[in-house]
Amino acid sequence: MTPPIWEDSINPNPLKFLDTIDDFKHIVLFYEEPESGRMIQFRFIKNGLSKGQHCIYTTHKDMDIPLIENEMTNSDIDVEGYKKTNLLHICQIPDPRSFREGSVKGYDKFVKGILADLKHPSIFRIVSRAIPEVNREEQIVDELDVERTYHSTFDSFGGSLLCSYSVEEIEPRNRGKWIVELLQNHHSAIFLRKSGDGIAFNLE
Amino acid sequence: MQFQRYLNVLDELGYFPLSSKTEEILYDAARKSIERLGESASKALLDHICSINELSEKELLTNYDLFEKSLYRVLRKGAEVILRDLKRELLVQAVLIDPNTDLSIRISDIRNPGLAIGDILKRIRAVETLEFVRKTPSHTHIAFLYTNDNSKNNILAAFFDTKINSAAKGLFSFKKPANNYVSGVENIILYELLQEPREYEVVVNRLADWLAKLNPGNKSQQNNDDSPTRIADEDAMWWVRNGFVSQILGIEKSMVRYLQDNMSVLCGYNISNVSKGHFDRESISTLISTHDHVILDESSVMFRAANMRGKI
Repeated sequence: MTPPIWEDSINPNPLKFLDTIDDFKHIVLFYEEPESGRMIQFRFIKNGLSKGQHCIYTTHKDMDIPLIENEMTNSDIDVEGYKKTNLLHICQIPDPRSFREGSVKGYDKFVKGILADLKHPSIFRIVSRAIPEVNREEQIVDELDVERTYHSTFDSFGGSLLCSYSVEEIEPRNRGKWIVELLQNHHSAIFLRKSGDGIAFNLE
Repeated sequence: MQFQRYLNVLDELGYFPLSSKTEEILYDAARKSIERLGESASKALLDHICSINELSEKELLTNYDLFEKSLYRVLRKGAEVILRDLKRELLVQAVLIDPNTDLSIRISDIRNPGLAIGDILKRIRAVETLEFVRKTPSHTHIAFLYTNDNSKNNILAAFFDTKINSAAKGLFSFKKPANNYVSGVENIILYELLQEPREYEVVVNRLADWLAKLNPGNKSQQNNDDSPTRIADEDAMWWVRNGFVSQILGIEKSMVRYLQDNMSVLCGYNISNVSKGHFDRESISTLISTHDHVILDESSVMFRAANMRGKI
């Protein structure tokens, strides 16, 4: 049952893991420091761009797009170049909880709208999360609804999706339970510590 | 399976497992490995697992089987990464333990992918048990329940280790042992010399004579050394198998008297092939309750009586 320590098939280094991960994966990222979280997000985007994939980075209204672009540039992503070739898209999306038909349908509408705008649809990557804040129970419950829905139909999604969570911003009373449910609804997980290092693995 | 009967009796009698260094090593290693998920995430997951299982963090992290199962339930295949880390941590600790025993971890073991975490823990625990037996203090009465002769030989060798203990040593045995594990034992009494006639009084008197002869020869007393006289019984189950159940129970009870002197006693019991008909639950209970410590060979877990003073 215990894996041998010499086994090479597991590479838990998050960056190396991202460099070798297959397409069409639903990945969850847990981080303690936003900077290290963004390092992983941008690496995911950069790897997709270098493969010629459409890469979409969504933010909520409290995030400044020029700031993100600047950080991407600092991470060696040719933001202007990829925007010109229409491969990189940084979009602000509203909170789907305000959508009359519910968070799941609301979020799906935004995502489908973004994908419909791609001029030459191919394999794509998205860094996104539906609900802007998950520090209250009703928020994380809605977020999990979206995650479950996407994961259960992921075969028809057509791309890869990286969902990021600051661990300390997850509802604290049942934080362990929410993390377990998030893990159950993704193919792979990446955990980043305050120190910046971390581990990554496939869940199945 | 054989051990389960004895475990049930230990539980009934209120014996409790001694907290061990192995547990501390496992706790530290398990904690360190899961903390690779980050302080907040690992704390949240541990709290969640503990609340589902109604266990404290210490109980979870010192129970390897449960920890492994819980990790697989939560992280599924990802548990392998954490367990690989845990194994590495344990190996580091295992190579640091006494390198002079047959049980210590060697390079060939580290390279062996078949060496499971359970095997490493068993080795660490076994070395710890030998250390405990080697340093057995005076007035201690230990029962060692075993099925494996090698384990018994290791335990007896530790108990009679002349580097630690220069006191008089005596052994009940089937035959004059040729093995070097009892090379320092000058006083060996064979079971067959005790068995006839079958009267309990006769057996006990012979035993008393033998013990009385053993004590004057106590080198530690001659050398003004405090080391206790050490008496071991290679396989006291011999009495049970040969129909002397009441005799062995009587002898075990009478040991309380001898243990008031500067003496420690280790009673080996080979529990293989002992049927319930030969040795019922009540007899097992009587036998165990005469000992203040019980060691199970299977897991190298050491148990201690709840009320030790009452045993001495």
